[in-house]
Amino acid sequence: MTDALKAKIIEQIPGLRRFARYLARDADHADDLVQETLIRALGALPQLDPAGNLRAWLFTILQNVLRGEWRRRRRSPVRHDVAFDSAPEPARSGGQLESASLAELAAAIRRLPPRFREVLMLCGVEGFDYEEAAAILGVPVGTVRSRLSRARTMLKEWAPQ
Amino acid sequence: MKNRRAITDDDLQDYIEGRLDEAARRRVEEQLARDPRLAEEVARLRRQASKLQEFGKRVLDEPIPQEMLDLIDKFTK
Repeated sequence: MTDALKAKIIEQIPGLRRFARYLARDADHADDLVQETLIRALGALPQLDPAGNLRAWLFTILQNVLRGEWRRRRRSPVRHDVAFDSAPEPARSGGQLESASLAELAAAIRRLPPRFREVLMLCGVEGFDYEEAAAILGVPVGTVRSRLSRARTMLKEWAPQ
Repeated sequence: MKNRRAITDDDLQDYIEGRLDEAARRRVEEQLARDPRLAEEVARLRRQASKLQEFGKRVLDEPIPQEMLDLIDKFTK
């Protein structure tokens, strides 16, 4: 692996951690998922198209890790309990919580069903376009659009600002 | 596409993301000029989009866990 590729992979880790943080049970679980993603990615490097979309490739692997967990456990690994909704996960470094309206948004995002949350995170937060998100999730573009639409409608209700 | 068909939330989302072609964009803008409710909806969607982009930024600023860096280091040896 070249130094350049190594640097590019490391560059993607914060985004992967953020995506995992809002789809996993908690921060530790999220980091376990990202660690597993990196293990798989490093093992699959020979299959990586050097001219391809590294970021989307890594997110696809993370998505597969998540899906594998859901299937194995036969339930969502995500917490839906009320206490969780009212106390958004603070960042580990620094003691400050996000502002009130971002906290409200965080709670609303946590309430979204996982299928809607993942498209909202990919498109609205991580900045993937519809086609990239569709490839990462292994669904048609139309499915991405309709789930995104539903997610935004729910957010409108729960975090109206 | 009928000229006077209602503008959907998806259209508004496409509009603010710059996914509409010239003609469609102009149609939306004409409607926005006429309809303050629609304009308010666009403003709200823009606010939502910018909050989403801000969302979770603190996670990005967290230091990368050492075990992840160690893993990559081990692999390059």
